[in-house]
Amino acid sequence: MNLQEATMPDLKKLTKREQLNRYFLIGSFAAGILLVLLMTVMEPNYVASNVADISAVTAIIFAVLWGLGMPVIAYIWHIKAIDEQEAAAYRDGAYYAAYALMFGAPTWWVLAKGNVVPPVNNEIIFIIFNFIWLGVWFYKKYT
Amino acid sequence: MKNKLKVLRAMRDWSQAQLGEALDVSRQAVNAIETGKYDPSLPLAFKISRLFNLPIEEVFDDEFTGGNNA
Repeated sequence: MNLQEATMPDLKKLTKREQLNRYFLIGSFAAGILLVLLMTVMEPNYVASNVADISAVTAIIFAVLWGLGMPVIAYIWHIKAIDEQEAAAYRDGAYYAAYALMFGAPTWWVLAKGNVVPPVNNEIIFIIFNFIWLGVWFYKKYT
Repeated sequence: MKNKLKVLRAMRDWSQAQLGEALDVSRQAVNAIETGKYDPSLPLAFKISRLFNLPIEEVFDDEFTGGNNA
């Protein structure tokens, strides 16, 4: 193998950490699909309208899955699957997302208080926060 | 920080995946270090230097040219 060939990424083989990382990502994606399907079956009115209330049972099930299950999975993932370069990419993503939240959310609050923009939507803020975090992570890890 | 990782790897005919496996990091991490987009931690830098059996300053170059200031 010459130097030029050595500069090309080897796409055929993944390291053990990458394999584990890939399994986690695929598993998380599959779990997300399952949760959507579960919500569709249990709360069809909510899925259809996005404003209807959900039952207490559904709320508790999803709260346990997200609030207790996800932290355990995330902890194992960070310990076993990601390396220091990816951890740094996550930290950078969190840094940008935190600043976006710190500047963006209060800006929305005051503008909403002045009836300049629609009322604050917590779900949209959550989605934007995660979008920025994951976008920076992806950029730092893969480019 | 500049480094000779790409050259050292090519001299041994290793792929990024093979080097990543030896260092217990991903190919992306190897690529990011080689291209200077990511500076490894001190433990990983020492691990790299030990793997190639070289002093750390022969693998990494902080471009320090002398003087009193560190």
